[in-house]
Amino acid sequence: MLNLLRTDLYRVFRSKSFYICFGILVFINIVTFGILFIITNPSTRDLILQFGAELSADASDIESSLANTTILEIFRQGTVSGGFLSVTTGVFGALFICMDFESGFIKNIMAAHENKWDYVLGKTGTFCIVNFLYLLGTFLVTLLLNIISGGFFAYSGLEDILYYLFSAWFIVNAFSALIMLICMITRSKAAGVAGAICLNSGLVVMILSSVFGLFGLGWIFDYSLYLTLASLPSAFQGEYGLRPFITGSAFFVLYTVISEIVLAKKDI
Amino acid sequence: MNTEYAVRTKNLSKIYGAKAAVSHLNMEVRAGDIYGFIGRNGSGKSTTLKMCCGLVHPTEGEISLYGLPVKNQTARRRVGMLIEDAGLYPHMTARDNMILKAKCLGLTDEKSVDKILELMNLSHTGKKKIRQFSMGMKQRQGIAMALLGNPDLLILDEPINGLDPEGIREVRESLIRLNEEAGKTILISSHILGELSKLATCYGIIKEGELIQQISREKLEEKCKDYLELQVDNADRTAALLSEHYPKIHYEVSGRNQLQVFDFTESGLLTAMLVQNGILVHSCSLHRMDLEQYFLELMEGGAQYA
Repeated sequence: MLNLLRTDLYRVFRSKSFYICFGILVFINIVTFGILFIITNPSTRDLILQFGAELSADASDIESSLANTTILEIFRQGTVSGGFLSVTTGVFGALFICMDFESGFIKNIMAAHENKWDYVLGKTGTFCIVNFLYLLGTFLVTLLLNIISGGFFAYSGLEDILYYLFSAWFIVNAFSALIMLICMITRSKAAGVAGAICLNSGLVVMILSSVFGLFGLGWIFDYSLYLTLASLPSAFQGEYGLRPFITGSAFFVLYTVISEIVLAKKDI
Repeated sequence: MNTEYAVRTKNLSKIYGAKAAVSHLNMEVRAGDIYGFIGRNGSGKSTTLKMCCGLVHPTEGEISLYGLPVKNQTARRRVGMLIEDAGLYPHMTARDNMILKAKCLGLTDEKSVDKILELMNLSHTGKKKIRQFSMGMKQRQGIAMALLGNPDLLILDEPINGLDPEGIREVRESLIRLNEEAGKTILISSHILGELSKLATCYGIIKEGELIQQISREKLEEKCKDYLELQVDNADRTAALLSEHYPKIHYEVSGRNQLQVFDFTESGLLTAMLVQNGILVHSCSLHRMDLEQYFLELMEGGAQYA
């Protein structure tokens, strides 16, 4: 397993997709930060209004709603809640796994490793590391932007930051395991990317939640990965604060085990 | 641990839907041999080789590598393979692909990577990506990858596909050197039977998923040796005359009017002698057969070769 983890990490840092996906996340982060900075800052807000921009709320409402906005909230809005992080990591995962099958390198791997867990755990280990780097990297970018803007938004406490980043990491890892499962079943880049867009963005969950809501069963989806990620608390709040870790771990284990079973059953 | 046979299959079968791609195949590859695996397209060669590498699950039967089941990790580590295409990441260099395979095998010494690239004449490729490689270069890279980890057994499926004549010669010489100097066992399939006949010490012929013949090079040469085929009016009298005039000659009578005369190619002398002795010679032809002809006749159902 460690041999394959080393192999995958060597490939990750030599693949363009890793840097492109990170670049997309950073870009989205900068755009979100920029928009919030412009509409919150009176001088830049007046400037864009002079250029013909229209704001649906008046200045006092905007200032009061954003008065206590912390950088963690900016990071949540820009990267995590909208599903950008889970979609981007999902697309990266789909491209990364399917390249093994598309190129045929999987034959080299499987000829040397009879135990399919080596492959599955190698991949999940790689995704956990990549997701951690993406989360940390994009958060540091938000932090840097706030420092450059003179500390425009309030800084969050270190404990809250660590709690939020780790709980988001658990959920995103489970999303990556889900994409791995789709790739193991289909071995198709198109299916993997489509799965990352439809499932990791919450599109499917929102539709199903609405349908199930008609029968009073919409609460089931409160335990889905997407809604858990979207409603992550910004600080540890007793037992509820453990929910992201439990939900993330449960789905992570489930998808990983099914991936191994699927891989073991199919010929290469 | 049985080291006499590098590969041994027992009743090996692979069934896809209702069709048997491989059916009750019993193959024996002795350690130290270069085993030429021959068959038409779709005859089950690649499926068999994939099963020997653990890439495809057999429906039935057993495979042992050096006496150990194919699922055994130790046995698996003794095998290097190139099945169908080389299996390379196209956006990476030759060396990067080699390092990836080395890491996958748990090898830490990158010197062996450079040594093998040098051996396969790929050390000059530098930063060139695999997608810019020619077909021949990709095949050479595939063989180089198979050699990583110093395996005892090389399983090569069509390794000389796409190579130019010089490339074919280079690969052939490399494989012979690996076999003779490093003692590696090689299980190789190829459609270029002329080339295979320059390499192989043993052959396995597969037809519609069934191994119809395993034969050593010596026996094949025996079967393929040159002979004169005579069509005469009286084969028995001709045989008596042959024994009388050429006591050391070796011949076989096949039917009332047909004889095969081995190790004797002087057709003019022979015909003249027979005519002088009142034998009516309908035809006298020199029969030459190489591996390709032998294979084709076998595929067409030539029972006399089986």
